[in-house]
Amino acid sequence: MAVNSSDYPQEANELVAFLFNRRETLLNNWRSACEADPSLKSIAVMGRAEFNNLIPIILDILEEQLLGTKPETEPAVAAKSHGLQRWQMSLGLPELLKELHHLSVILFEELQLFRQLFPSAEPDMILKAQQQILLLMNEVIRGSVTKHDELQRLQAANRASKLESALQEMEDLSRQRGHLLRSSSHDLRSGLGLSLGAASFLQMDDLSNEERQQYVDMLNRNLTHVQSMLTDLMDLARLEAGQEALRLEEFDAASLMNDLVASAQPLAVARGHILRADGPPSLWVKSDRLKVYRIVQNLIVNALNYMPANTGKPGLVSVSWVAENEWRWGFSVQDSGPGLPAGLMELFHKQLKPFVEPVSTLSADEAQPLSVEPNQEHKVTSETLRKEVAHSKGEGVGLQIVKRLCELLGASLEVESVAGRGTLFRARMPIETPS
Amino acid sequence: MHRSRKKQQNNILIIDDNPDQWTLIRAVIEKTFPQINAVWVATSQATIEYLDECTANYQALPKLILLDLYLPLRDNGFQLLQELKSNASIYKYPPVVVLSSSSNSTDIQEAYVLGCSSYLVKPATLLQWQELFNVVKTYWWDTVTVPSNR
Repeated sequence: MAVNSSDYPQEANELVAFLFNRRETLLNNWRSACEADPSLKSIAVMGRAEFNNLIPIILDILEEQLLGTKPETEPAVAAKSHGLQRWQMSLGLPELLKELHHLSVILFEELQLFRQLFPSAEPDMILKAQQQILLLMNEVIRGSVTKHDELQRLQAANRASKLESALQEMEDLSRQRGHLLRSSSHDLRSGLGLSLGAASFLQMDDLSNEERQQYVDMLNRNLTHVQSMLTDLMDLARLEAGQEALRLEEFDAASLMNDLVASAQPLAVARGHILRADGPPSLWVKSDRLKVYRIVQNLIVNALNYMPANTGKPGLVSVSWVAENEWRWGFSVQDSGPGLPAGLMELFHKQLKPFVEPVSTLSADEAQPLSVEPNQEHKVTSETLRKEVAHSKGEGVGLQIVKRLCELLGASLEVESVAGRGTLFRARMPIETPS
Repeated sequence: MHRSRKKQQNNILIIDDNPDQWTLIRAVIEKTFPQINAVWVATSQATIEYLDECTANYQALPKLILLDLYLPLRDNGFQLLQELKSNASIYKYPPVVVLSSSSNSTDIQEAYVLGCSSYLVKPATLLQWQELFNVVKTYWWDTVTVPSNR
């Protein structure tokens, strides 16, 4: 430091002794000044040690500087630590500057008091001591503010990146939505085109009976396909518009599962697959019977269609149900298909809802970096559904319906998939669905 | 070789994943365009395999390729188109005409960006199909000059 008081060693010693003697008073005065400041409300909740923090060390540094010795601790280092601690105590930047300003004022007052008590003191020494206090306090302020600012920028960057990823997810969702719509409208148009084509080709004059039958089959096949696509789309639209009401009733879920599996057996046989049902003989629940039915039906049809048909090696679809405890039950549909594409599983762990930090900039929690709470529910996201479309036309809509129905029933939907071995859909819900 | 080349030059390759669509296209080609030889493939992979086979057997490539976009996803069709038209591709010629049910403007734009020669929206009735293939014949067979094939 360019300026020091070592030119007057005797008087510097006296000043240091004075300041040391006054240290407790000085710190108390500083606290009082801060507490009297209406803009420093958060000071009041700090304990004495918390409040004083590293200021005694700063005062040690001041002593050493007044004596002309090299300080043991760099003032900037101590100041940065102070800035960090104040950050952790949720003190904002304006408050930090204020409290340091109060400290400077108190130090100058002490210097003034020293002059009053010791009028014989060398004015040059006082002047130089004043300069040293000023320089030190500048350094303390710079150090504290640098750290504080660094942390604030870090947090801002953190928040910005969180918002950015939330925005990204929103964009992904809307893109996937557009994709589903475009894909559906293409499938519809194509199905209708083929129906019209088959109908008009039927009017050709020189058709053989075989050709005629071929076009009639084509017409029926495509009209049925269009009809089922339309039904699915309308179901989904109704679900998304929130027009589906819950109709709660008590029913035996086990017999519902058995009935469903029995009615899907013809499809399983036609595609060369084995369809099994396993679970307790009776499982009474209070839920929306029709909606549970549609979920299971969609999943079974999905599983049966998902596995390659009639390859000589039959695929296996297992439907099972269980009461987990007194208040939850669940069912699962597992296939032995090719499994979901690689890299897809991680998508199940993604939350559908974007996470936006709920606290404001200056709230008490601010100092603690907030982490995104991992969600235990592995929800089926639209991204997954979009990929599902790749396997079979129209399938994306079916799984969307399952997802919406589960939401409506308060059920969680989990998916596990192993490439080459199969995919498992599991829905779990309350035994007594609250109305 | 001369004979076979002449025959091959009347080849048209239909890429469509829907067998019903192929049934209709085959019937309308037989009716309106009997001298043409239509070949059907359902996937991107089968397309490349067919073209590789032509090359391996010293056969001419098809004179024209009709490409459906949604195979079953539009990305599948676009990827194939991109592959065929890429700089490294040995199948940059023949011309690819997209034949899709989609009249979506993004699809149309993307197809031209990736290098299709024309974009046709699939018709529905027999009459419309006949008109379409008449136009294809008049234009690609009787009007335009294409690079000599091998």
